[in-house]
Amino acid sequence: MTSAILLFLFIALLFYLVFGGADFGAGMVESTLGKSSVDLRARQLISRAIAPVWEANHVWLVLLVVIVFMGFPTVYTTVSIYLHLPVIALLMGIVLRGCAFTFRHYDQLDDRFFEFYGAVFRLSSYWAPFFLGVIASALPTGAIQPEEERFWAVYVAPWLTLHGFATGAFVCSLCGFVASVFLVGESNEADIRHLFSRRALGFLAVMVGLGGVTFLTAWLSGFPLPTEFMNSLFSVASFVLATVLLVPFVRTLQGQQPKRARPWAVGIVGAILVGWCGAFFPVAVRLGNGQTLDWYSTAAPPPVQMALLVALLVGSLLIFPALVFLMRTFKS
Amino acid sequence: MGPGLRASESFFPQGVPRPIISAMTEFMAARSQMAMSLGFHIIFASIGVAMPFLMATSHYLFLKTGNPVHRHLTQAWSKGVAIFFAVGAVSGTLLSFELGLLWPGFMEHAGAIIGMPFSWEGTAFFLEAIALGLFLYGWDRLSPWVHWSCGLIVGLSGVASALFVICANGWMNSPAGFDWNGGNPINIDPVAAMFNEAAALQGIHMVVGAFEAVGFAVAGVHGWLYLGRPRPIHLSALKIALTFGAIAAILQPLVGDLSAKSVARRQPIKLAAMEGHFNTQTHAPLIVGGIPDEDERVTNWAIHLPGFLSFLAFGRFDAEVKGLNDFPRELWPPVAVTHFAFQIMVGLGTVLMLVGLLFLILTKWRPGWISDRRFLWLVVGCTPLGFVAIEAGWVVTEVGRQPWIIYGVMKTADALTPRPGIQWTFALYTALYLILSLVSGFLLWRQTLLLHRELEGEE
Repeated sequence: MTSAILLFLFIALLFYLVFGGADFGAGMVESTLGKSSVDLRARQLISRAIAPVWEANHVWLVLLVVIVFMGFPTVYTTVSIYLHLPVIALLMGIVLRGCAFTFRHYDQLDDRFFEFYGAVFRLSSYWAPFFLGVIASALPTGAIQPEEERFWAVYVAPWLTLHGFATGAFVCSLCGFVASVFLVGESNEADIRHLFSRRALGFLAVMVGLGGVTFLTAWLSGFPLPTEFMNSLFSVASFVLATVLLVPFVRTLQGQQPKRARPWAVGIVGAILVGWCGAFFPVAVRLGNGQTLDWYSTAAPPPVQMALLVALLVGSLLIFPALVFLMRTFKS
Repeated sequence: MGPGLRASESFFPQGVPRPIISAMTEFMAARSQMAMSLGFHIIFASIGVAMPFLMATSHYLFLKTGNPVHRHLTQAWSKGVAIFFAVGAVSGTLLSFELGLLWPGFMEHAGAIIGMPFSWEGTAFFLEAIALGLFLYGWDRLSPWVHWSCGLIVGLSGVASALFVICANGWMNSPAGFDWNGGNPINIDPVAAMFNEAAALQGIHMVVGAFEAVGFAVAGVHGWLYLGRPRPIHLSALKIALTFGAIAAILQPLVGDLSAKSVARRQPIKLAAMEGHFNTQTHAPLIVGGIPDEDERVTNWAIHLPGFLSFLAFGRFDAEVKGLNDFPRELWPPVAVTHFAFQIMVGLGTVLMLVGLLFLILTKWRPGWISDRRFLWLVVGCTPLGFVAIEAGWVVTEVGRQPWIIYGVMKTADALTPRPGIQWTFALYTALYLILSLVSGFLLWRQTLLLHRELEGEE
């Protein structure tokens, strides 16, 4: 039963990375655009593409949080205490991004405000996924120190690390990558497609580089991530899969129907996520004092898990058709 | 492993003068932050719950009559819905994290027990977000009645999600579905927890309150705009909004009465604080107004209506109503705050009920008087009252539950995060909410400018 819940958790995380990530990435892509006529058309396409779907895209995070606090409350409270500060930073980014986008969309009287909202929107589009990465980086590394007494050591040091920043930047590039791929398929015009597919490949290259930096910084700081990754057959296989998927991905991206690149891109992201999780599964949080919180031992009692699973199953039956309808209405 | 650790280093080095903000204790800062986050969110959430129904009504009228005024109104209102929904959604995301950020001691146990309504709320909210996207952007892509029903689904999902999430607050007031076992809860029954005794009435009271507040606020705004220039769109808007508001305002005292009776039975100390009632007695008087003096244990300057508290609380004049004196002092909630909030809520609720009745009477017998300037000014005057009543009501139920976070089970102080420096994050959130409130208000004002420009373009 716990495994079934963990599967839902994984799916929610993957969908948040893909859909919510595409949203964040759209703001990043927008920040790479200038004022030339093709760039202006691209900007309009971005707004049009995310407007109907961004709200729905971000609900995955709420779902994620609810599964964790209902199914694994100790994990939720541990993160809430020790990673309080980067969580606040993440939330500020999410709030500002959503509001700035909406305000920009509806307040069409004056260019000065338009520019201001746009700037907040683009900045927060980097800020939020960055801190997602920072938070994720601190979980498996054993950087959290419950035995420490000083404020800095308990509440700042675990996440304010090179590895944290590298992971944050990596998540940013991943979001930019996903967004660019989706945006290619949103247009029928060759110059716009070319613009976005160049960015997709650019973000992909940055992502690969930052992936390496993430491992390097982990190794330099003595975090177990690289060794665990190498020792896990699952992770190595996922890494190989992600690399292999690059071939059909690039081919479809540059082909006649770039929409076909989307499933490959999602596959690559999925493989990366499986690889990262698989390295230390079933550990959820590793603490500096040697204690580990693993998913199975921190799971809520069986009646609660059952209730959660039922809610997730019924919810899926309601949500998936609705989501498909939404995407079909606006994306075809 | 748990939230027991406190980092002992002082946030400020020795000798550095501490700014006034850190004079607030961590505990008060956390409570204030939570109160502010909830107080902010409830305004936007109420609009998200009720406004779609107003919008669907106007939309329905357009589809049935083809009157362009109703199309303009639907589209103007849908922009308002979009703006408020976005802010409400992100503030709600914030809250789902804040429960853990501020009160990990609570979430450690409550997360599992009362998580179920949150998961259902998440589902309802997801559907709402999808339906909203379809509605806002589907004017040209969906067939007219499919499009209309998306708008209706936004409203229905909103109501559902409100009812679900309030089950959680109901559980905090009326805990069920577990044996506390000295801090290690066992025999957890999530269904019993969700369907606790307080959930249904609290939920209905809130939803009716949302319609009341939004109905009067929207009517007031359009009344104001109509007084500025008598465009038909504003009068139509006012009538639709005020119909919802009036019906809600008339139902609300009935729901409120049932709620209070439930509180009298389950949380007698909260009732005593709400009413400023210190001495246990039969034929207990209803205390209207007044200033409770917690040290002297008396409410001064009040109007006492003999026997009516017993009657309202239990349906019989000779029923015994427990007074605060019957309970240990350390279990008293802040009496003055709770009492004032309650009096404000009931007072405003009464005013709105009377204005609502007046509107319905006029609609039936003197419809022309609705556009009379005096009535319009009355409606304008009522604009914020419903929302003030909502905030007051939440103060009653949340402050009235103190010192408990789970009534009779866990004290709020024991749930607090060990992280020091909450005063600073409180300041940060306050700044954020202030900015968001100002910008949304500013945006709405500009939306009316846009609307008028559009209408002018067609004249």
